[in-house]
Amino acid sequence: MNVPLEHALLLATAVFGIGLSCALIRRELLFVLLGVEIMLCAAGLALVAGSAAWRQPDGQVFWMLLLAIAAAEVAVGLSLLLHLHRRRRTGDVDELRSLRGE
Amino acid sequence: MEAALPLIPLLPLLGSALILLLGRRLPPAAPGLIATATVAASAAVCLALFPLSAGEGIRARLFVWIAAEGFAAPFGLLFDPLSAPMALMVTAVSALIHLYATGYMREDPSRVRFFVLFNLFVFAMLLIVLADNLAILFVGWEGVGFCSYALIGFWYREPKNAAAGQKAFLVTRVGDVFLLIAMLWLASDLGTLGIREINGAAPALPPDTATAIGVLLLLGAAGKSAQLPLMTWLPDAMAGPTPVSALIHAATMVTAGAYLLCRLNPLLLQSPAAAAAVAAIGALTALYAALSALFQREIKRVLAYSTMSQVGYMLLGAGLGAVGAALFHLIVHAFFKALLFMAAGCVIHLFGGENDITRMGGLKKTKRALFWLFVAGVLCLAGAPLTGGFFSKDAILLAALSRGGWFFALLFGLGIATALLTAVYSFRLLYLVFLGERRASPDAHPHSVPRAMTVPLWPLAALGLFGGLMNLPGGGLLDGWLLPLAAPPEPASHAAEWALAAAAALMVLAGWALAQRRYRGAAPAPETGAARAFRSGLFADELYQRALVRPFKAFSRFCRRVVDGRVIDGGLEGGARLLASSGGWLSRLSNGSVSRYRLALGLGLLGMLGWMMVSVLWP
Amino acid sequence: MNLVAFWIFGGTALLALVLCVTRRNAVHAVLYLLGAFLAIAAILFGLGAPLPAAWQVLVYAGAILVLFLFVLMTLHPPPAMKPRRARELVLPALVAAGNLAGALALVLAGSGGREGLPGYVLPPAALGRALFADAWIGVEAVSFLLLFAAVGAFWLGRREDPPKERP
Repeated sequence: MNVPLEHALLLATAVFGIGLSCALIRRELLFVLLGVEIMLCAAGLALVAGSAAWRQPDGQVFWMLLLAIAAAEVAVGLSLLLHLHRRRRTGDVDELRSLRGE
Repeated sequence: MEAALPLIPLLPLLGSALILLLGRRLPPAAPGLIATATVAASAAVCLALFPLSAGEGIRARLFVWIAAEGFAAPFGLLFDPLSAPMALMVTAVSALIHLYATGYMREDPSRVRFFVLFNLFVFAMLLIVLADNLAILFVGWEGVGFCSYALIGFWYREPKNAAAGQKAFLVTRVGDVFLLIAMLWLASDLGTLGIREINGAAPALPPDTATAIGVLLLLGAAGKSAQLPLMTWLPDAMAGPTPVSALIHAATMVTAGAYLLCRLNPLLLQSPAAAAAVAAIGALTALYAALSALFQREIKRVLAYSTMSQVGYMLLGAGLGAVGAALFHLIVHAFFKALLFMAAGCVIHLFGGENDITRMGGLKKTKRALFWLFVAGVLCLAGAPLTGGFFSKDAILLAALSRGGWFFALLFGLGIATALLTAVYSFRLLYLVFLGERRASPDAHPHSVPRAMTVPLWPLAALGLFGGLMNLPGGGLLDGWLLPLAAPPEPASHAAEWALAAAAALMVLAGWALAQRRYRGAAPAPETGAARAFRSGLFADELYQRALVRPFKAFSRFCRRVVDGRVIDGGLEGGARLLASSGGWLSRLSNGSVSRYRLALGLGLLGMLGWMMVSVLWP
Repeated sequence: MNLVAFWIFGGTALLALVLCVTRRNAVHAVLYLLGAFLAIAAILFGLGAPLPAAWQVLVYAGAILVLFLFVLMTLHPPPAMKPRRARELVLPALVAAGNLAGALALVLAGSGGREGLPGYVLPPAALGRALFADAWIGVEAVSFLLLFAAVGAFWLGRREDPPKERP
């Protein structure tokens, strides 16, 4: 028996939920980035499942683009993390309170 | 020849522009000379063109001013038997008064401004007179209003003068609004504003509309002509320089209302009620103003009230349909009233700026020529037999008498009573100013009177005294001239004419006698309460102050304090406070904490996703 | 793909992810994530996407996670891991649960007409053609994005020299 689209989407949603929870709850910037990666991965899963459901290559094409975006995001995100550690000696998101620009 | 018609109004405009542009660079006497020359040239053109105005007259269309779907107002001039004599009178009298003004204003530092406005006034007045349609007439109407305002307040450093100018402007503006309503009504009902077209189409108007428009025209005319109930501005307008009083507030502008009613007389006569209202207002104003004039103490205010009274006669004539008589009186009145005003200006000069007739007297001994000129004016004003004023006033009274019916008999009674009062106050003026002992304070320093101020008086005196020749009773020149426009007066029986002439002459004599008994030689008695009431124009100012100005001011205060202060300001400030507090609340949300922003971002994302889910599950 | 196999890999991935996001030690977390990514790669393969599955292993597991590990090694002191109070977890947990419940509802209310994903396999060559023939403009855009990301990362990661060391 093949996998119904709904099941693939359910798995993707669960993965997305875990990633979102991680990105929202964890205080360490590293884990926030990990959560974002997980969310992107979940989106990719849904895209590939859609591609299979409609027998079209578009979903997989988008998956490839998504991969590149994830790579770019993680490159910039990790640079920011490094920068932050050098400047502030911290990786804790809760300690970053000067975004108000005063 | 016809092509010269636009020159009549344009020459004074040209003079005004020239003085405005060059006035300060030219020698001091130049502005006055330019002004006088252009107006005199205009009068000459008018005289040369006069024969062309017979019958249908001539029209000149310069350009189309307003063109819209189904409506057009060309900038056109109409030179016909009604406008031609009026234009000739306006230009001729204006030229003489301009000449007088060159003398009167020769030392005033603001001569340039004066003559610019003075010439501009003549231009605007000629627009009224020559207008081919009501739109152009209204331009002139507002133009004279503005010039009147600016010239009454000419010496604006005195707050009193500026206030008088504002009062004139505002009060006449009330009348202008009614005129404008009448114009719009006519334009929408008849589709045209052309004066001839309106008069031709007037019989097609429903009677109620005709009455309403007639009453609106009456109110418009009352504003400009200082008739009841919009008369309060004219006595105060005497704050302006004397040539202004002579030209604007005696000879020309205040007669514009009467002229308008003559111009649109066929329309007015469509509604007997409106015509009767015009006649009644005229007669009542004549009596009211004559009573007030009797107790004035300032020479120019006497003349102002007398102007009001005489214009009342003209309205009476217009309301009776006696256009010829009204125009006749208008023209003759312009001559002698200009004469009287300018003579009064000389008198004021000779008494060193003194305006109060109770402190004059005895001028006859030193200034005999001026005395006789003034006598000529007084005789015309009082309507002494064989002067111009006698014939013109009689023509109007005769028209009232020959109409029959109790209403017109009452108006005739008012008119004849006014004639008596007119004689009394005219001779009172003469006695108090020229005869008796000199009562001027010894330190009054008489100014000299330049020749330019006395020369123009002679032709005016001649015109006033012999103006009756224009329109002798029983088929006069003017009535014949106006035949294409207005029906000739109904021929009255010779007996009635003679009886009326005798009665009028009797009134003059009685008035003279009364004035002689009361004012000759004797120092003026102290003022009684009744006299004070009449001197203030029966407290008209006070009445308007209480009935209109104060409630309006109270309403304004209410608006300022409650509507503006509480409602508008309060609403705005309340809104601002609400925004400020909600902004403060929102700014606490954006506290700069990255984790807070992260949470908001995530919640927003979840909201979007949730909405998508809901819209999929329950489409 | 067989439904049972799908849920075996899927369950593995979920378990690994839960363990990943709850670790205190970042290195452990990255390693759990590696497991999850590999399981997801298997699922991608089963859904007829062999090339994405390979890239999943190469790029996600190979490149990105190794980058994470590199960064972790360069950080000193290593990031301190602080516990969170339970109260702060309530709201995010609620939204995650709501999210999942919505997805479940979608599954249960699903169309039902579709028996399962048909056996569809997109060969890598076909994907390449689709990518570079039809979606080339997206490829170009993403390549620019990568370029900008590289520049940005380089700029952010450069060592700020103290002024005194300048000649």
